[in-house]
Amino acid sequence: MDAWISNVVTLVLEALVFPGFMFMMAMIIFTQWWWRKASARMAYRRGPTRTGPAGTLQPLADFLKLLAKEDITNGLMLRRLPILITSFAAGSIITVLLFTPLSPLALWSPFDIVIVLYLLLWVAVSMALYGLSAPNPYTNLGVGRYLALLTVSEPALFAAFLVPPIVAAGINPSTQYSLYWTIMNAANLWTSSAVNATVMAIAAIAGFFAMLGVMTVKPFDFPEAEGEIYWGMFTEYGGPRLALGFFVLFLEKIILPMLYVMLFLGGAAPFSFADNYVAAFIIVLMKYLAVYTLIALIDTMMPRYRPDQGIRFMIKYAITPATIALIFAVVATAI
Amino acid sequence: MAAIGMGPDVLVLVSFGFVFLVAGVVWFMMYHLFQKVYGRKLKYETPVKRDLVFCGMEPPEEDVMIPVTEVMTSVLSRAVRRWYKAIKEGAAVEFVQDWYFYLIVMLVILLSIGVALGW
Repeated sequence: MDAWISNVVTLVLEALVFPGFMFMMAMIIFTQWWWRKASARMAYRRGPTRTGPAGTLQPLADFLKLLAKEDITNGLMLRRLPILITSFAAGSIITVLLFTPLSPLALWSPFDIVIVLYLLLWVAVSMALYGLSAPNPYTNLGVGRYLALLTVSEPALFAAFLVPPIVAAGINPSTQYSLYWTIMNAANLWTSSAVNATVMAIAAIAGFFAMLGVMTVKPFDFPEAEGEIYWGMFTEYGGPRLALGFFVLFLEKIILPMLYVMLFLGGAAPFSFADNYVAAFIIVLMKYLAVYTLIALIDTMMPRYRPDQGIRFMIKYAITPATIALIFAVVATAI
Repeated sequence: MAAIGMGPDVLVLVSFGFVFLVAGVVWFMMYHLFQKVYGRKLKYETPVKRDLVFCGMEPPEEDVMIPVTEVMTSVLSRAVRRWYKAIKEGAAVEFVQDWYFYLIVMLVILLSIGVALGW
């Protein structure tokens, strides 16, 4: 009984403090500052400098400013749904961290990758509902584009993210398609055979493109299309409602690349979470920061695709290769 | 460093417990608290406060909404129009001219050989 209570308390602390809510808040402040600095560097600007040391607290100041504003809704807007749905989306994406070795006490079950993908899907669904809750011609254009993008990028992301657990189960059946054990065996996924390495490489490339689409990063930011369709899905939002929507998007920009690093880039290799948790954690953070910087640079450098161009790109370079990788991962595992 | 294993059905229930817990904390800390302490005191009324955002202009009286599903289907159909046309008209040249088509075929052949030979 004591052990049971201790486990529950530990899991609650993990969900709310580390690596959950509070840690993610700190990560959002740091990564947003990093993104702005990297983007500014590319454009020969200085980025944030005034608030906090080297401007590190500027994202926090911006966030608090939005949260403390009056909550304004227009005459047609749903009042409660955007708040509820964004809180729920934040809850579901933060809960995903409990399935990874980043949590000192993790949760796992056979086939839990399906539960993880379901929780990730809630973010996309909730952002679509968030946009639909505030009717406006520009918002509707943005949501229509977002739904079209999700139609191709979410299946591609799912297909790509399913490959590592399937490959891991082929190498070591005791991983049982669980995210936790797949990450613990992530270093072996590339080295076990030529076919597995090829399948992982295809899934990694397709997964990266799909991730850009799901996060609506340039060149796939046509659902927001700032300046083109006003602000797309966010046109009607301001104050705390906009802060909550951004909170979910920023969480997605942390947790998706982190999962990508742990599944496709060897996880904590050359360290292991089982042997040296601190070193493994730092390695994952460093790999994550490299991927995140790459995404920030792509976002800064690339122009925006037209919606149909973006969808065509996703079909060609994300969903098709991801499906091929998934099929061959299943066949190779079955044989 | 430890992990608690359980059945998938139990894990679904447990994870949803945590989803609701974190969602409640997010709502309370990031919306309710700020609005109660500060935001609600900022109330002011202007004639345009509840109007739609419309390029700084007054929204017209008639319905200006664009159906979301129409936008979505329009984007998707424009994205695949060329392929759709090629399939419909049997114009295989559209596919054969594309280096991407050869890359995919080669990839599938290579992987099939790899799987068959147990590489």
